[in-house]
Amino acid sequence: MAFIECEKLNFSYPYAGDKSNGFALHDIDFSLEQGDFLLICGTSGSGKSTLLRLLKPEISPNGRLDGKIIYAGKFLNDLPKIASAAEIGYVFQDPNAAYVNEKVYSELAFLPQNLGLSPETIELRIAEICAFFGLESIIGSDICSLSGGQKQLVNLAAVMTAYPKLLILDEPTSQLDPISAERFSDIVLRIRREMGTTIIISEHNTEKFFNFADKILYLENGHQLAFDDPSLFVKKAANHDFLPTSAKLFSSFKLDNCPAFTTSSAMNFVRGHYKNAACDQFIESKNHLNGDAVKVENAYFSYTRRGKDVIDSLDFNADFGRIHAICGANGSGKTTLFKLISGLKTLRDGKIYIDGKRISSYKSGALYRNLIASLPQDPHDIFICESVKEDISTSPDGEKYDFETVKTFCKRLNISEKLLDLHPYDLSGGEIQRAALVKLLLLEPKILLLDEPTKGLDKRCKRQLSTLLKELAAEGKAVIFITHDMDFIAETADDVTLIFGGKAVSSLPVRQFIMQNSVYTTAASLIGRGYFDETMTDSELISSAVSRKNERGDGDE
Amino acid sequence: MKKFSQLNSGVLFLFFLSVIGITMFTQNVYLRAISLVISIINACFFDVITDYFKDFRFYLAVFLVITVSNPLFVHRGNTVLFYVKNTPITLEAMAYGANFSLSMIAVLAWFRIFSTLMTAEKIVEIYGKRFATLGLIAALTLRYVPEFKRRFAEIADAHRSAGLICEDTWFEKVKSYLKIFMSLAEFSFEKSANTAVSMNARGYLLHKRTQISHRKFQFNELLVLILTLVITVCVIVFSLTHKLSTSFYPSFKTDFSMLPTILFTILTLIPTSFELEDRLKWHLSNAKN
Repeated sequence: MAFIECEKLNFSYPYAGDKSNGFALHDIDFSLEQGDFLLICGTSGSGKSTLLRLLKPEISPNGRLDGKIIYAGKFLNDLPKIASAAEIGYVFQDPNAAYVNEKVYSELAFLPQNLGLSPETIELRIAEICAFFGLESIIGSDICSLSGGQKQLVNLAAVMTAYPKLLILDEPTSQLDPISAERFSDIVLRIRREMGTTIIISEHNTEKFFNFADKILYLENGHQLAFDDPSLFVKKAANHDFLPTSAKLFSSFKLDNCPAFTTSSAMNFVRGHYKNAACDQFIESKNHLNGDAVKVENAYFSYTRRGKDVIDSLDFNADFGRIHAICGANGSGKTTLFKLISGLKTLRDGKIYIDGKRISSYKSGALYRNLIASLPQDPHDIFICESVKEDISTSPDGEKYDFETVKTFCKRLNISEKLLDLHPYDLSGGEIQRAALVKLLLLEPKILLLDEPTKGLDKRCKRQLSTLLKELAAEGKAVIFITHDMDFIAETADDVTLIFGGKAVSSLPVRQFIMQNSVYTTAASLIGRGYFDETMTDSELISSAVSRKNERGDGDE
Repeated sequence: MKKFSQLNSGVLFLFFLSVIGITMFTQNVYLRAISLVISIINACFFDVITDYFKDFRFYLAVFLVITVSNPLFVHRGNTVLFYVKNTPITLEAMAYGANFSLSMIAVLAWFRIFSTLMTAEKIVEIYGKRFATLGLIAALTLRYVPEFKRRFAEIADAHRSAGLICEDTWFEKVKSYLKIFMSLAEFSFEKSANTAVSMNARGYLLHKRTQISHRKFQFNELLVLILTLVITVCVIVFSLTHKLSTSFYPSFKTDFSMLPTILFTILTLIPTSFELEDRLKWHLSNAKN
């Protein structure tokens, strides 16, 4: 008997007309056995979060529900509230919002306390979960002082203290950097392996989970387009954006028995089916940038007088008309460099030139008038009015922009009239980012800085952003962004700088950067290395692989 | 015997209330002097004062400022030291200033120890079972304060680099910071809504919440509680019956009562005794290893 079943599930929000026919979910039908791992894929707005929330009665959205949700043989709505709280765990996307208490210990105790367990049991549970998650070193810490990845682990641990039978995770790694995301994913897989918990997870970045999923559920516009195991899904799928690179490669060959969906198995596949091709040696092209937009020379900076130098003898150049990506681990100094370039912090030593002039020569505020505009990590930060329309059409001086100009920008950035009347917090991640960009572009900046612009975005939004940034660079603007997302860098950037220990250890054109590296590189580059010349992105890999399909005569498996 | 900081938070709170209260409201020179000396000793013991030079310099500055400023405004007293523009600077006024500043410094030192020992968790513990919801609200408030400070700085940076901050005039600056507060307010509404959802998802208010009471009320705590109450009452009684008054004008006169002075000394030495015993035990057990 299935553990979880959705039968002909239809759901519509009370405010009809929001989605097609007013329905957020149409005819969702799937079933899972106990211990299964379900990965839900789809673009933002496809109904993933709605479906996940419907599986957790306490936080189910209000609306009209048709169809059945069956949990352990009974209707989900008939499940007693205590059982629902204890047996179904839910992890939210934002690590900063979910926690309630100040200390890690209290947070872990929150759920067992609500369930009315005895103090001894609570202490025992906390001890066990702490050991499983490796939280011993931070058990007494303030949660606000932890990193995003640690916070999300604490959120997951807080939910696991009840040893739930079903664990639901709504894009848990979308706000995390790759290392933290990797660590979080490992723990989730370990939970599945060692505790036998049924797991339902929705993610945009499926690289880690795709290989381990028992079933894939693909949603688009609230419709269920596929519910299969990964191999069958890949065979039927048409190169979906969200597939990991290896899966896209196998998908284009319509293989019956796919090997594992990992980079190494894809590398084996390529090795077995293609001839070695010598790669062109890159001509050393250092100093190919002259720094006419931003030039940082021999910079030194530390946050406290006795503290370590966060920026230590750093040189950086960015040109107009080019897109420059800055990458590096957390704590390497990327964000500090951004703050220095945008004038929020001052160098202790060294020089910064913006548009040819020393940054210190710009009077207060002049730097941000028609020169630099910066998009923060959370675009909501720069909105202050009740409606998007009012916010973006008012300049910082309080005057109104010509509405036709505003409309032109909105059209260009794909912001519909409907969105303009909404409150900024009612817009999705991609929508608010585009609205914020309209607000910044109306200031007519020459240099656009973006701080981790791809956090939480689905692949379609990332592509739209990539196209937009390329257009802006073509207009002569200098675009500089910080990111961990190597695929986005491969698609978008012209130049890449890697920051490590406060220094720029590498600053190269993008292709050379990606082709030479083994960690700061794309999966496509690793898979195609030595076999396909200069492959950087997934699409380049697929097209090279397909065009040389019959190389050994047995390209078809 | 536990550490002083591990005592029941209600007991700790009463202790500090009485010590600080007595220091502030009884004018008696002896009590204030004892309070000052022992508070500084305790502060050193509890590692509250670590940068001795910096802190003592600060206290000295407080002492000097108050001692010197009182005679500038108050001209009562019999012994005139010298004249400044026809206004007398009297010894008694200076002595009064000195007395007052000593109590100020003592209170500052006690408060520092108090804030180090009374962590957020302890404050929540005070609410106990009866006012669990209030306690949770207090905990939530405390958890949000550093978050808001951090977000305020982030939003301020975002506003600045989006050209939203104008510091040309004072008025413009205030307007800009008001905008930042509005952004922060919006953010806080959203965040708190998400936190509420997270609490609901974990069964908040479904069942009577178990209180994790870490330890039972022990003999130590009872002893400290009784001592605090008894000594405080004694001092109040003596003070109300005018056995502990100190007056400076027209000339210096002070009472000395053996009993309340000794009792108060005992009271202020309670944290010291806990700490000494803890250190002694530590060194002894280490010596064995």
